[in-house]
Amino acid sequence: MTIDLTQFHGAFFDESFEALDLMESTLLTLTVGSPDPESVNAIFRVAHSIKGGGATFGFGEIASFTHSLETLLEELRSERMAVTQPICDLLLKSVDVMRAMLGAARTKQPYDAQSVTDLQLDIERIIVQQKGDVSVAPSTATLALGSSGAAPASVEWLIGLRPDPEFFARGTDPARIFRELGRLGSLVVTAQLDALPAYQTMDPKRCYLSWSLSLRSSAPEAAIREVFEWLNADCELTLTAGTSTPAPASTYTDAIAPATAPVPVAVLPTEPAAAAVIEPAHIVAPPDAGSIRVGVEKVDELINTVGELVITHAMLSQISLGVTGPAADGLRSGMQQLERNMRQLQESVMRVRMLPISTVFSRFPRMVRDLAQRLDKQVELKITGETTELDKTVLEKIGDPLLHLVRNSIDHGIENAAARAAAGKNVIGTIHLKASHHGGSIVIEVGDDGGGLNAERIVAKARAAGLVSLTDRLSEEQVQELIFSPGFTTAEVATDVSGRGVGMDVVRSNVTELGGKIEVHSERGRGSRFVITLPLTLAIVDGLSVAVGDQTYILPMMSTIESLRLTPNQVTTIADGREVFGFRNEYLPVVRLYKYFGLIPRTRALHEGLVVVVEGAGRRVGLFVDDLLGQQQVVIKSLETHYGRVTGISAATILGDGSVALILDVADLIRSAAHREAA
Amino acid sequence: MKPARKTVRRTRRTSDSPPRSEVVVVPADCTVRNIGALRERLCEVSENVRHITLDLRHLQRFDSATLQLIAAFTRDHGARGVNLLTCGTPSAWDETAALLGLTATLAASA
Amino acid sequence: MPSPPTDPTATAATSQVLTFVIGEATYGIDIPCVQEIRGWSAVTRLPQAPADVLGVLNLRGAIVPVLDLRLKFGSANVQYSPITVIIVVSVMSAKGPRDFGMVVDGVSDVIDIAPQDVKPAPDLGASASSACIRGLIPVAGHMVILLDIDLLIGKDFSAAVADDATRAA
Repeated sequence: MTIDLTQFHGAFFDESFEALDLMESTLLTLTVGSPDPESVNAIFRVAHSIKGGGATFGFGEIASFTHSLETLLEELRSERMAVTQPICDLLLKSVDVMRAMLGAARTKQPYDAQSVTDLQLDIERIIVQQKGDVSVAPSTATLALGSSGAAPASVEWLIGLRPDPEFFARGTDPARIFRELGRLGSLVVTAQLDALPAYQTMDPKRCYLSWSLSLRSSAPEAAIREVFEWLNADCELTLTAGTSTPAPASTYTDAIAPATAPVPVAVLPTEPAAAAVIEPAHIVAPPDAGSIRVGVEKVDELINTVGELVITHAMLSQISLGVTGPAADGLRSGMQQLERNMRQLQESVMRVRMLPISTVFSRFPRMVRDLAQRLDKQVELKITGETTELDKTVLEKIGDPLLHLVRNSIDHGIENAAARAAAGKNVIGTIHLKASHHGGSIVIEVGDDGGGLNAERIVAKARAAGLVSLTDRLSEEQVQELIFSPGFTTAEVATDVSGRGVGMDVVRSNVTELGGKIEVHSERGRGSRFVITLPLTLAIVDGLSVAVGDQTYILPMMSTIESLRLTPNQVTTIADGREVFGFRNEYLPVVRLYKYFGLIPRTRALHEGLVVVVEGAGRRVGLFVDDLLGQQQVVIKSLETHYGRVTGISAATILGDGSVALILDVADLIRSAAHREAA
Repeated sequence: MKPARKTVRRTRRTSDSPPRSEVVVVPADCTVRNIGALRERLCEVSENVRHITLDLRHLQRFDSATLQLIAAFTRDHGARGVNLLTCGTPSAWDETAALLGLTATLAASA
Repeated sequence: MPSPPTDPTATAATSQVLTFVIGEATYGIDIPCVQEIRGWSAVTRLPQAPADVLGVLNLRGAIVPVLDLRLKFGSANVQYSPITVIIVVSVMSAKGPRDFGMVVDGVSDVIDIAPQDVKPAPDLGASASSACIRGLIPVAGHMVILLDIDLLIGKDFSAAVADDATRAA
């Protein structure tokens, strides 16, 4: 009987990534010298479960690597080796390597095999160093596992290993296995070279060798078999208990025939039949009893269907308004009830896609620690609101911008200890990551108690870069906006941390892409705060519908500030024909949407229509529209599925009457409108 | 794509007289992933040489596939009576050879 | 056609073609790519779109662009009335299936054709329509112009998007 194990891969990956997160956070709390045994155990279990899963699902390299890791962890767990800083660093690196390997296996992409091999060599080297050279035939044969008190009688095991040709290519190294066996007792290895062709004709990646081994060991059979645990099923393994000193002689031969599905070679002596199929559910750590794993695409399907439902409902309620007669009241109250239930359904379904932001925040303790170490700064990371939930897609895309902000704070924000002491501050700098819900949005803050933005330096840089003219007098707000300009960087020395290429402009455009915005609040000498506001979900947007000619457009609420009716004397036409109006101490340009979209408007007179002040990419403009139609939640539909990207438009939605309305991309629109005016 | 050749031929053949000895420099990184380059280099070794030196001084990274190939090479040349020497053997090389039961094969003609 | 007309396998592989009319000419497209045929309804205009892309339409919850084939093929008389027809077709692109609607004057027929019925089109020069002609099918005294849908959509929308990208840059 064979089982298609690929169906369990998804669960294996999910479990493994979660386990790695746990391993990383546990590692970060580990005290060098006197580690908490339970923490070491927890880390060991992570390596062990990934190894088991890797072997079961035929990810030989993962199994092989985690095996080495597990060996090291076993040494730590048994306190045969002490937890030192280099070992901690090695273990942290292992987390990265395993993430990369798992990620590559999941997407079927290649990974940096070199870094894996290097790290694996490092791990093995450290084991050998600390334990003393493990010779092939150790004089002390009582190194056996699980043996305490009177040493059990040692048994001579005869082991035959005939690997399949792909053995080496998969990254399995028999030397590693034999070294392992050598730890269990005294080992004599004999290689059979009869199948080895002349070197000119051989394929050097294939394995032609086979081995017979004789191991004298008091280790239980299970311990010996465990060494071979992650062999591929195509390898032929025989294990025979031979002559023994007083112990009962049990002969056990077990040839594993090539099987179609990769099955682990690990055989439980009590249940030999179980070797054929191991239920994957037992290998990956069982999820919480109260939860199930569902593919994201299934959830998205559900969300889409609910979206359709909302549209159909809107359509029906529009029709119901026109219904008269005895049934009309019943119909309308039914429609209202339906609407309530539907909103509830929509919210519940949306919540399925929501994950706590801790999945992103958990990356930071490690990063802050590493970076602070490298920059020789003392930084403490404070995290609040990590249980705040947001949409999975938003979550996936917000990681990099946040990472950049935190890096920036450590690199540019937090001063070194000496400077802090001189300024009378705590020598340990603080970075505060904070997440919270705020109405229909989520607010994420990256704050530091560093030096704050240096206005003079920013202005000087901006002038040097030609971003502002020498005569421009800038408000504090405008100065802070400058750091988001493309190509702007304040680092006097471009460190390898902040780099040169990526600036705050990229952070802003990433946030804008998610339909959010970013602001900076800074106080000289006291620190800076970057505040990101994001929509809760990417599936629905709170929008303001506006009419222009015969078309309806949706303006995301997050980008709109105010709508106003301008009187003719509020508008000034400046030299190049552009219209501006005063709004909260600044002059904003008017963008006539009908012109932009090439439509025939109901009115061209500014005082007859409305101006909606919108903000995007740090700039504000007044959009001139015919009328406001109302505020509503709309379901976002991609334009790119069947068409393509359109400047100034982020997506489309379907209105209650079944017609399509375009959702404006305010930042993009402001940019292209300015570009067009300039052209 | 052909892997980049990292081996350098130390002894050049003079046009007519067959070379008497040859040095094969085993590259620093020589594992199953790029073992093809080493085999190619080994295949260039003339049939008529009397002495072959395997220079392992640069070798840093190797695995069982490397040992398998060198074992075949040693065995085949040893059978024809060629003197095969290794120099700069890293300690891990001997340890791994022992673990794989290849010590005798590799020492055959040294 | 590489296979000779006598090839028995060729005769076996007949396919169905939907024919429609634009002006005086009859065009045909492969039936399998036709999703549905629907009457005219108002579309939402797309900014910066090529002239023959009228806008987008809600097609069972998906946002689908509508192309006026009559404008594309230079038809003089372009009117939108309840009897105007949109043929919704689906083609495979590198990014997955793409749907789009084509406005035509009217749908006429479904015909069965064998590969050898399709005659190579004469070189008609570089007009918009000739670039996406797969061949000609003589049917009852007149010619059906068989269109290659992939070329039609490929040219139009990738061009629209590329054009847009340069404008945004």
